[in-house]
Amino acid sequence: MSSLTRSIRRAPARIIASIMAIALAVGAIGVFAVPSVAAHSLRELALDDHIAHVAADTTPIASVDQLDLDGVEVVEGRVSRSIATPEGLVRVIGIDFPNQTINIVEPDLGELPGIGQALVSEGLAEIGDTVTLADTPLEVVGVGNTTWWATDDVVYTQLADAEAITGVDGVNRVLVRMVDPRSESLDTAVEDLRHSLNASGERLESFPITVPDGRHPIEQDLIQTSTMIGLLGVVAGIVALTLLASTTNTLITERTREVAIMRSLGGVRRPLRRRLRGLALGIAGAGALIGIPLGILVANVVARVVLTRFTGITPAFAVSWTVMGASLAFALIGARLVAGRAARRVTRTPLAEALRDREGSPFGGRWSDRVLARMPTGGLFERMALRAGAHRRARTIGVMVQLTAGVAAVVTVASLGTSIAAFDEAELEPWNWQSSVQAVDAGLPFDAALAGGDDSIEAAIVEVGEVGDWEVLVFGLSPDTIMLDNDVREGRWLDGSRGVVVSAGFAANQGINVGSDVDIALASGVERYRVQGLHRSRSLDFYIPIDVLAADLDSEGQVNTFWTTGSPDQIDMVLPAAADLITIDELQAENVEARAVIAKIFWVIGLIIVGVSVLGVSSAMAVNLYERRHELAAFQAIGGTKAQMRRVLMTELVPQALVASAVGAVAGWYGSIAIIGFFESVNAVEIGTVFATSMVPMATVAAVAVVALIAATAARRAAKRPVAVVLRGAA
Amino acid sequence: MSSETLIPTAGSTLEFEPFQFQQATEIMLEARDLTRVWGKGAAAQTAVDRVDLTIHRGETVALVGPSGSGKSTLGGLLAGIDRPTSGSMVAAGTRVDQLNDDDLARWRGLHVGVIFQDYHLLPTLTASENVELALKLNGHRRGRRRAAEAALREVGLAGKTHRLPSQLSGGEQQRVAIARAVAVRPELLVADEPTGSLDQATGHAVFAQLMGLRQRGTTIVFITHDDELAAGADRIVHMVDGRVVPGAVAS
Repeated sequence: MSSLTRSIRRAPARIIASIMAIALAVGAIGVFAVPSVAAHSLRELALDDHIAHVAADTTPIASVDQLDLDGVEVVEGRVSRSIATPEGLVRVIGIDFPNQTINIVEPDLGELPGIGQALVSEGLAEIGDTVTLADTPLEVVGVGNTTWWATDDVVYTQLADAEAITGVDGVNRVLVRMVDPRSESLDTAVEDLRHSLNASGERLESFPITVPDGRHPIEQDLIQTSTMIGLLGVVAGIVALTLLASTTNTLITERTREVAIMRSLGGVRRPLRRRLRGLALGIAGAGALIGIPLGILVANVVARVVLTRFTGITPAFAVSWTVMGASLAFALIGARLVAGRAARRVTRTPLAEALRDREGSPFGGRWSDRVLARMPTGGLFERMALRAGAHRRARTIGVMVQLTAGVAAVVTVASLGTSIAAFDEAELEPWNWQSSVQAVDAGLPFDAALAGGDDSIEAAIVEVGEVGDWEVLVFGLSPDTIMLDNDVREGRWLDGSRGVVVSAGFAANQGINVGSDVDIALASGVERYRVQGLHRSRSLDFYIPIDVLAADLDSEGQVNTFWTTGSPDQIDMVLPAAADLITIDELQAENVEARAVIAKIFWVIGLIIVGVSVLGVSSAMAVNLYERRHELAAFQAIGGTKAQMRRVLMTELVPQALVASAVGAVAGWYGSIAIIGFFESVNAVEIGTVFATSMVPMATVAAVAVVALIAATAARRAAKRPVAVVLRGAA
Repeated sequence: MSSETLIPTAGSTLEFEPFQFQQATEIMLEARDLTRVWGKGAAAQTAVDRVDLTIHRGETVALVGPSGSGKSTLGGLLAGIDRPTSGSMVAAGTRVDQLNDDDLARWRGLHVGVIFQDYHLLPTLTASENVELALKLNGHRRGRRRAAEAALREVGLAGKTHRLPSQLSGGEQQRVAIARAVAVRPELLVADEPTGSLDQATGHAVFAQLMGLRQRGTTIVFITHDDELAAGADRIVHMVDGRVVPGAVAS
């Protein structure tokens, strides 16, 4: 610690810059923690709310007591149905409040409702207001929610009131908590539930939601976004590693002569090395101490933005000790490894050489130096610049790697943005409908015949299913549909037989081929279909003839969706259940809005990485120029002006920036492919990489601007320092 | 003087061509009340303390004195590589102390040659390129290489023009530094212990060549501990504790 204090006193700006650079680097690694912080926050909420392990929409049943389920901790029945109001759709949920133990609803304000009363989600109404649903007035006595319905407008009432409002006779939503909450156990529970319902003439209205291992139901959706954000931590890690290595190496190398003097006075190598390593570890430790809280902050801020924006949940503060511990270990072990190598080199440099040359190994010691000195490489300034870069190879490589990483980060972030935007567009691109009306609640409540003979309106089924462990969308549509482009990449389109057309990306990921059979778990049970085509759809979509799917769902002639190629006004039929109307333009606008949030997060992370990179370049260049201060002073002493010094430095740095930009662009390209490829493989979705080509010139200009700024600053500072003072320090 | 004359033989003695210094010629340098303080506050150290000094064009001045007397600091101020804390310095009609950084650098490049005790060659440039650089900064546009090689030939390094400083001995590096300083034919040459790192014979030979510049009318200020070398100057300025000792100024 005392040697660290002495070092800070000796060169405060450089040491503090090194500490801050390492701190920012370690902080940037905190991005890795975003998925786990987000998941941790959600799991805390899941614990608080006693989130259901299985939630299933059923046809109305009198009581959950009639269900025969094994391994169950507790089962509860609810009424759940959406009601259309002039202000929009409202979900009415009936609960037996005194006995609620699952998806617990607690008032943030007021109290739980009695008969004729309601508790509403925030923003829907105030305490004391009266809300009237289906001609039933309810006095609002509380405001609150459960995180299960965090994004919905919900009115919670007593079961009896909900039954009266919705017309549901009994309960139509079954919530289950299992003794063993593992996936396999939940799958068994779903099967038991289906059989039990079927035995009493009832059935599941939709594919049940299963939430294993104390997770939160929205975790799976959110984890995709946060994982992609977390993957940017890889880029941050690479930048941080370079910076750590460069800073540590520099700190030790610049003490070559000091160590040589100590050795010449009888200093023994081993304690000297220990001292050098101690210094590097001290600086890395100090950087980590500042960087770890910074990383915690970064992870929490990003996780909070993601959760609030996409789930409406404001998470509690959380810390990923694993990532933070790994960051600390990364800083200390990295510094130790680099310092050990550098210290060995410094203490092994022949004494005469180390004492003779104040600025590290002299230029000309290597054959490559001598060859370079004889090569015609431009004018004097160009020769100086090129050889200076070759002389301090490690520093040059450090600067170039930092610049490369910065450019790669920018290009990667931009490419992720363009790829996601392209994916969003590609996801909707095969669809030809302009407006869609879809039942909000489970089941197939609409008669397909409602579409009538209007060619511009089509009835369809959109259901959630499961293939393997993947949640997929199952579409029931007419083989002659005009709502979806039916050109397939392989095989053939639907022809009315019991076949299925599958998204090509998902099929490739899962090894599904044309001609093979695929089992799809639906609300009604597992159904097998023959794959007859692979579609260019980018999502996890399965297209089945509407009649086949309706029959498999035991609902012939029934649907839950109408599409039209025209305006929403065209769908003017009277629907027997609440429906959500959306146009393709609104869907695109929602995508754009969601993308904008993700893009902002990406850019913030990208800027942090670029900041680390710029700091790293500045730090490496500061050390580089510090080492060359005598050389620059000598240049000034014989008449070199500030502008000429700047020119020499620019001549040295600009080619490095250009090379680094080129390498960074390539690295960014492969980085994007790797990140998106990883994302595609873990999510079985086909995103495709769209390279942000336009970002390359911008990143290159930025890299050149950064080095130009550094060169100008260095030249200005060097010119201000009296030459004699610098040269006196050399003597 | 041919290059061979610079390669000393054992036991050589110091002999200078007689040079007729013309008194009362044009003033090259005029320092008034020149003061340089290192550090600040309690740690402040006055290296040069209110020095008045006038040096004429073509004059050779030896700055002598014990270590820490301020010779090198005064040399730095006279060469324009340092700025005085107070006082003024006029060189050929220019208030050097009032020039901005770039103008001062240009002034040095055009008018001054500096030889450092530690050579301060640019490590990535060959001997020839080091000299060429000085010529470039001096404004030479053509024939720099030829001039650089000629300057190196004059200091006996004809065969080592393509060597890097790290491939040269200390004496050779010092001769490159001298070639660099004299190649630009400066009006003022400031040399700090120019022979300090050379053996006696080489030192004498190098010094003899510096003295040869007087023929060109170059004003020379050199700092030395060597009384024998100092004796070759037109004037000796003794410094003690940052001040010129008045009675000790000899000519």
